[in-house]
Amino acid sequence: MVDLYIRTRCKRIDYSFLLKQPPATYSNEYKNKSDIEKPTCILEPTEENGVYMFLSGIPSQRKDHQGTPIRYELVATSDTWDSMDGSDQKKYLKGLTGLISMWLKDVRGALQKIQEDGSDWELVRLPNVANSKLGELLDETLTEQYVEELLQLTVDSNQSKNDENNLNQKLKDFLLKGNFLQEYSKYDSSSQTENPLNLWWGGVNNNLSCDQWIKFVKKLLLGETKGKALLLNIATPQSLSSFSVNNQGLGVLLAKEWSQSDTKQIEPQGLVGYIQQGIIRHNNRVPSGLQFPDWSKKKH
Amino acid sequence: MEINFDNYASNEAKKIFYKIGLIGPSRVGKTSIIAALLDEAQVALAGTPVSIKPFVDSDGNSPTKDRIRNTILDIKAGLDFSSFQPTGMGTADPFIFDLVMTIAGGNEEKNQAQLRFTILDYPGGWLEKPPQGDIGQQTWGKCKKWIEESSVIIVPIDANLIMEVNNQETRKASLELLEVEEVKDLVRDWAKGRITMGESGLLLLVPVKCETYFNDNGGDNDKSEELYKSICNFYSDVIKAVEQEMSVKEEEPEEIPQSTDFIGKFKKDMSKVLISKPSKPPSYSIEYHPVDTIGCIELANANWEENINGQLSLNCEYLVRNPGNSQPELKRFGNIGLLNSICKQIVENRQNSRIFTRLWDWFFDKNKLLADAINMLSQQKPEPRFKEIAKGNIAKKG
Repeated sequence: MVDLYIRTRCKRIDYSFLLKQPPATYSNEYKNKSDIEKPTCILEPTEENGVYMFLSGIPSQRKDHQGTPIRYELVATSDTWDSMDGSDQKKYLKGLTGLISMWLKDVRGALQKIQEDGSDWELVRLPNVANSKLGELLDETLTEQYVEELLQLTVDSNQSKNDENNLNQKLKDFLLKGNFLQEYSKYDSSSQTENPLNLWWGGVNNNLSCDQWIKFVKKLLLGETKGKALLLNIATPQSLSSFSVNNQGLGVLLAKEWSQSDTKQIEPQGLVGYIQQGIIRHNNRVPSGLQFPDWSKKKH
Repeated sequence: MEINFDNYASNEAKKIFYKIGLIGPSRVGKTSIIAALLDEAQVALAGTPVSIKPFVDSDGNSPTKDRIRNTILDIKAGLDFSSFQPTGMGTADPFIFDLVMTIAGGNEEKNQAQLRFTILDYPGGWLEKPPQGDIGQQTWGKCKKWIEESSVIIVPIDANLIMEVNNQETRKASLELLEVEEVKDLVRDWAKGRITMGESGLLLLVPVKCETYFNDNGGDNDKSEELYKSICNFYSDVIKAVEQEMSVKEEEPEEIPQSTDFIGKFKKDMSKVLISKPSKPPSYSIEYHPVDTIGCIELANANWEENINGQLSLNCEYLVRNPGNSQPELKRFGNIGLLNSICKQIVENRQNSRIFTRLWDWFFDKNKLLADAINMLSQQKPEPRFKEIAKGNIAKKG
């Protein structure tokens, strides 16, 4: 089962999940690596072998009582593939893949605009998405009046089962929107290049990195592989080494990496990292073309 | 990202966390205060070897630096040549601003003692309605604990919401938007926490968006007295709550139990030695520090508007003062007074807390320059806008 949770605010009521809180949150290892008030994506396995997704930095056209733009955050949780029942679930997960892909386009669009503007101080700014297709679609589903009502019910703890069911149905219908399934279909082909690296990072500016990342997201959501897909907005390539330990598969897009170069291996942390990564690669039978890092070249 | 509160749990060798709590509603401008404070502190410490800056972790990441930089850039993005549009994002999760005061440069920078000002921010809406679910409740519990352990509490206040009140209805809306009742409850909990710990406490009432009401930073109108009186009026219950909880009461003469057994007598004698009285009794102060976090703007229009639920909110329009053909410069004012008061409080804590005394003595021995900087800042003459609302010794525990 796929469950979607939305966090937003209205004119006067502060940020809160609409009617219900997600049962879990993301792990603490991304602390210091992303500011969730700016675009961030965390897609990771849950302890129950399901998937947890967190997506932030989605702008709404609504404004708060101070005139400040409001944003959305989305959390999705899905059961383990073993316990899923049939093609409906698969359809929701395809919709979720399309949604993430659309979100990534919004984020990239905002970054490209910053680059085109050429303002020095904009270049050091964390991505701030002003216009977003995903935001528009959310605004259509969650109208201003409906959000006001839901948040009032939430803060008053006055929601009925009926209110929850209505919201659930709206969100499920939202996931099955043609826009998302159409977006998904672009990645529904096995002919596209997959990233041969197990643990890799790429800049959000680079087309190939983004294509490979979405492809990886799709495989994670559809239960075809294991690992984590992240888009982080503070982390630098150098600060990712801690991720090299205990991760079987990892694809990270870095919002502050402006280079156009293709994906790169995440360098492991210390000797233990090298050994662990070697064991993981061996067990997973990673393509033989991969080279183990040359220790002699490692800087000390 | 979710905060690991444990990272700030203890003071260990070479680093001391000085906890500060923020208690204010959402969208009041909490991050702007921190950004302005850091900016003015850097100016105040210019020319000295001491610096105060966002803490950077071993991976080279600094969420504090990014958030402060973004706040400044968001403000700049909202400022065009003639007007200002409120920008910013609002807080959806707790965040700790981690500022480090240290000696700049030197080969042994990593081994130097650090004073870390750690300021907890969280969604203002939690004051009225704490987050639901196990995770939310746990997080809110940790935030409350942090506040109770903080020596200094900053209460940011939107000055426009105070000054633009024009009838009973808008006064009610202002009190709700400022969440004064909820602020009072949390401040009371903090005061109780101070008494339990036997440590001094400082409550800072910090009106923000004050540009329109002072004539000392480029403005023409002086409504400063009106602002001060209105804030004392709006926050009278908050001030009373602190005084009720913290002001010293008549002390009962201590009963000395007649103990005849040797072990009991030994324990009592030892406890007298171990729990010797600190040099100065703990105290509390409530201070008033109006600040300009932007400085170059002025309120042009303020209209109370009703939302679809019939609730009032204040819609403000700002104009840039003396508009020209270039990007207006930020002209912050009053924020250094906050740092001076915090440093004064650090010295105060040292004088009245056994644990603080021990830590600080060690710390000051290790890094005389830092101690000098704190002393220097603590002894600065208060700014003209500053007012002391209340002060006294803290009541004895129990």
